[in-house]
Amino acid sequence: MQTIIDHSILAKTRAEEHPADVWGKFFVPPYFNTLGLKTATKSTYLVGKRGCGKTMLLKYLDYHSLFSRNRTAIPKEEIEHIGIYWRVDTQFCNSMKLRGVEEAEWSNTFNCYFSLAIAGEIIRSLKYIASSSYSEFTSAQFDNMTLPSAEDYSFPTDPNDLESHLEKTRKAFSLWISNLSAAARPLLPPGKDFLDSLINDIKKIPGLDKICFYIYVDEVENLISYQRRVLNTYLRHSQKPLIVSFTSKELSDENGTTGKESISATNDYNLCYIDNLMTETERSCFFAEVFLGNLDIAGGNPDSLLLKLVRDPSSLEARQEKAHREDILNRVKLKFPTKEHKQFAVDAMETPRIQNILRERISKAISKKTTKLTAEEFLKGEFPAEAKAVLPALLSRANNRPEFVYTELEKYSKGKPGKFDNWIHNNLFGSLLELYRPYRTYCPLYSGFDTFFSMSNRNLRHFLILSYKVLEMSELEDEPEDCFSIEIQARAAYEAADQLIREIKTFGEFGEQLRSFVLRLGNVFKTLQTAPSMSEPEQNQFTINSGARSLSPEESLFISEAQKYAILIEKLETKAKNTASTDITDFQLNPIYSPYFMISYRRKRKIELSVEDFHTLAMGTEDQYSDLASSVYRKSELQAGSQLGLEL
Amino acid sequence: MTNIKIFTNKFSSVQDVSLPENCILFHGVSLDDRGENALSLDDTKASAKLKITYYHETMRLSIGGDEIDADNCDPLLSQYINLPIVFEATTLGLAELYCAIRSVIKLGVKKFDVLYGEPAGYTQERPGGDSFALSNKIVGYRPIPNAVVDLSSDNVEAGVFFLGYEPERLERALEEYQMISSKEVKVVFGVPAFKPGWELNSIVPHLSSLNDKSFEIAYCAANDPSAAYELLEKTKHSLSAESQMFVAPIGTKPCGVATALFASMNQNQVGILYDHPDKKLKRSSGLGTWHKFTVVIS
Repeated sequence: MQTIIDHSILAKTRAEEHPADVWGKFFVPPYFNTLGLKTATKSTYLVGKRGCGKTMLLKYLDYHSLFSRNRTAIPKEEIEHIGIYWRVDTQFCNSMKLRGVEEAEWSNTFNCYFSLAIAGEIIRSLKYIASSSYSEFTSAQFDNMTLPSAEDYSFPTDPNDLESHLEKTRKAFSLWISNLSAAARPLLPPGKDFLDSLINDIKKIPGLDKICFYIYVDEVENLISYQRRVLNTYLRHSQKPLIVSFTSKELSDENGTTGKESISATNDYNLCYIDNLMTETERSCFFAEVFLGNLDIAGGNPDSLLLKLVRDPSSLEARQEKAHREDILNRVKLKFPTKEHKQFAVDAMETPRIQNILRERISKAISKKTTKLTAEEFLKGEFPAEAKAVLPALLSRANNRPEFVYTELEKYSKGKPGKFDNWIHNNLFGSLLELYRPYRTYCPLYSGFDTFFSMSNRNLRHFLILSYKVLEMSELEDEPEDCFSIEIQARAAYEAADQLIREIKTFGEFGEQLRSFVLRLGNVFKTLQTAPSMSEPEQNQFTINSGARSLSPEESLFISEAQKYAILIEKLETKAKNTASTDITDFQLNPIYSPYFMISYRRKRKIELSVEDFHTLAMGTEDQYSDLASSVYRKSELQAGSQLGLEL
Repeated sequence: MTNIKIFTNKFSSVQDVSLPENCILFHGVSLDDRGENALSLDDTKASAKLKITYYHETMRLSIGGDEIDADNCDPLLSQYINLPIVFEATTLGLAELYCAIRSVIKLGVKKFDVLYGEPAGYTQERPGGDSFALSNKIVGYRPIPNAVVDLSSDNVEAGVFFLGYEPERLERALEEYQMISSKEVKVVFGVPAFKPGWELNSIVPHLSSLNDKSFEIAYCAANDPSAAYELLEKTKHSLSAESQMFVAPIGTKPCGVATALFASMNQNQVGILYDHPDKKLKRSSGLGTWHKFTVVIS
């Protein structure tokens, strides 16, 4: 029997599904201390794709978490970092353009809006801190404080009055923006000066002299250019006690400010790509910790040893210990077991349905050749399973005479060196995929922690979706909870891929187009994978290296959108050609989608596409796409004959 | 206090709909059979037929041959307010409907008609499939002047989504506007649907995205703007004083009509969250019931 699992906790794979206070829910990532966010003296720009843990990190840094009602002891120095996580409403900000108003005026308005919103948050944060367990600043101190500078801007000096006044102003501002031609412009705080004056007043309050506000503006890349220039100006002039930092999916292409200067990494801010802050070992251990930790919470064990460790920034060093890592990885690997590929071949050969599939495919392959050998002879019990599994592909190749393959097979089964070592190495994975293809939604290759980790491709959210799906299906099947069967893991991998492909529709303006592109590209790889000769197994990448023209701006935009949402993963390959070197970009279809098409999740081989082919995949009609798919398949089959020298 | 009443007349054919003498007919673009049918309406009684288009990139509106910032469209519409006004909502988009309805109400029009034709069926992506081919591209949530709210502000307390056949529209709103999750959200399915059984086409595809949300689920007739208006009123009454709400009309057009009316009548309290889909040609087929909604403001 399983223990009862609270699925509402495991369903939360996105930070936005958590409330503002994530104290006790945030698992400190291994890179946390290296970021040095809590003591930074200048801005930080965090760049990370969906699912990398960026929003959860920001929620943790926000005052709602670090001064949480659930935090019983808050150190004195916590006041030196008051994080304010500000996620902009892009449709509201988008209304601050055109409409008969000059951009310079909008720029001024947006500056006022930013200071209005942040000033409100600053006062609210103080109120929140005053009512927390932080002992250096109490509610009485909050009520008794005054902010004399506010008067200079015709705002009240009492903090409670100021808070309500700022709220009213924000309402009036919103109404003015909505009804630009009819409503009156409210009196607005003028921008950074107002924030600086306010913070100077706050610093004069006993106990708050070291106060420092860190504003984290999320999704900054979705703002209009002039708005980014306004925020860049804040970023450029950031210093204690007011530091404005940015986060976004991709680095903003606007470096200008409202003045003549521009901003640059290192000079003005620390640029951090979250994905690059962990080694693969650290990442795999962290993913495992998050899964195992959440499992403890969901299982009603919120104070487990592991949870205490992963929630505490001071335990990061202990978590780097080899023994800890080994323990975590062993635990997670026990839960997500898998087998060697050769063992999968043995299992397959013991399955009557697969035996029939194999017999039928071998018969079909040799029926096209002149031979006296039969399928039964190739399938003799003494021959190793992994060698039998690759036979349909080998026997389908034009230049492989059945007798030659048979002789090699005998050599291999006797442990003598021969061609089969290489053939198995190159073809076993693809051959197993093909043997299981008739099962449609199940292939045991998609199992094991390491496989799930590879398929997640650095994306924590994808890893959690995969592993929670396994848990959910395992519960439905009433399996024991200490170890998930390979079958459940593989079926869950398909379900997760299906869910994530459907989700692509929500990826911005090109969502539907991107989804259709993934389905088309995946099907092209699937079609190539199913070619009987399997001359190029495990193709799941492409490169655009020919065509009568270069990529159009529309096509380039499409590729950048696909990369932004990590549908395509880019790998720059530099190949020296004569004296000049040419950069070739390979794009891999995100391996998380691979179970849906039953293609390989491993980065192996690529296909070459022309610009026109790419256009068809991304934007062509269904008819154009069908023509392309058949021509790619034909080309691959033609190459099967000519590439035999490669002996794949 | 201003009151609004919506009277509904049903017709089996658009030919049975009679337009008021000398009326102004505002319309949009025909995309399918019902759109063609709507534009072939016997308009001999109409004194003018004017096409309205909203451009979300520039937030401008064109009415007939004139174009202006949507903020300032009142002068363009003021020339027509002394004639009976009819909005052909089958062809008009949500943004166009809102801009024009808000303007005529503001200009003092107390009565106008809104026509709407149901289709016989919606086009599926694949025959027998469970998803529908209704939009080429969904631009994304972009503001409509006079109906803008700041979702990042706590002042926007609640939101109502009228849901249709495209679950990605709700999912995208929740993904791009994560602050929505912290508000009181009501999701409304069109039940009864235009035809028995059609409600499943909207409920089933939304199940997975609503699974882990604490949203209130409500139902309201898909073809009854009056019921939708009432539902919105209820949400408005639940707000604290001076707070705001948003409505996302991403379901049926009659619910869109209710949204346009509601946002027009409560301009300072209600914003519209709309994603401006580029609608597909032939997105529906055949003809169903026609409705004439007569709006009376007293």
